[in-house]
Amino acid sequence: MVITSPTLLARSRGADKYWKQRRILRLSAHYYGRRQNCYSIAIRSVRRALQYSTLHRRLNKVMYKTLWEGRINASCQELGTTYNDMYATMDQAGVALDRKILQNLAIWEPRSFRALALLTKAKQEEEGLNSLDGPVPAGVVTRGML
Amino acid sequence: MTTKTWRLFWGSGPARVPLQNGVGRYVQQLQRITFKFCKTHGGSLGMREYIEKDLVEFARHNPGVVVYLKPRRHRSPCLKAEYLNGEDDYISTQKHTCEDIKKWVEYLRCRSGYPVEHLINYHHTDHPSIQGPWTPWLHRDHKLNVVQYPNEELSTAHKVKKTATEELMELYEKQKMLTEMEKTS
Repeated sequence: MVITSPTLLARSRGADKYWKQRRILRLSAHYYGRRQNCYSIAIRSVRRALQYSTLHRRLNKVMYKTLWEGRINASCQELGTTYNDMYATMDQAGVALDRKILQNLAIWEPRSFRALALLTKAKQEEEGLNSLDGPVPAGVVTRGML
Repeated sequence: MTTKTWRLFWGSGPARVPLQNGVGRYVQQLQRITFKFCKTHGGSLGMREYIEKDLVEFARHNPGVVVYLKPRRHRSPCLKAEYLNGEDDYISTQKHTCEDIKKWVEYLRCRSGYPVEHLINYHHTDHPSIQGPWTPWLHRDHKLNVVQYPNEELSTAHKVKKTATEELMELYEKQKMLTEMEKTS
């Protein structure tokens, strides 16, 4: 005779808590105090840390861009231009170097950077940047007033 | 795992080659590889296929690697690789296909035995600068080296903007020119 009623008493109570907590505590291994070992305290810090890491992926790019632009601007100002002028004129001169490479050149290959800066200075005089002497851009109507 | 935890646990470093391997001669770091599998169980099917088809070719192409086969009943299949520096690597191939195992074997073949670290950057040089790094005196005039101090020229204030006097003088001269032009016309 097969007794079938004990099986009806079995209930699925959920996943194993130990391993769920382990997943969180693995991420909090380098925290200070009880936050590294006690789950209910660690979960708060870990959730915040994970939120920060997702949100700051975008901030990371912004941070590096401002850092690189600041470095290039400093090197440009030493050589008599500004970052905005140089970066705009590089496009017209046909030099396709990005900010990362430019800041590397400014630090490690300063003579090459100086050559680029002088090139852009000459080019911007030709193009008439920051002056009314150069060629009038297309689509601008002056009627001889400028 | 977050990047910080990963780096703290596994370590982080730049891309580098241990002992300059490949600069002169390249020495394959894989010493021996062990294929453990079950002869009947379904999870070892891919492993058995690999052994039948691709293992002999692998052994022929890598004469410096010792290949061991371990048929063990009721055990899940795995790859165990040992390297010349004494480190080893274990990869479970339970329910893997033949193609997967081929790729994992290739991964083990190309590894140095050193532990996997987070890469800080994908490049490494011992000589980051050819021209010499930037110094504050690099773009300055060399004559500054032989100047006798006190020097009147260098002690003057740096000119940043036009002074009010200069602007007035310019305006005066412009006005003068305009009046002259009016007179002539």
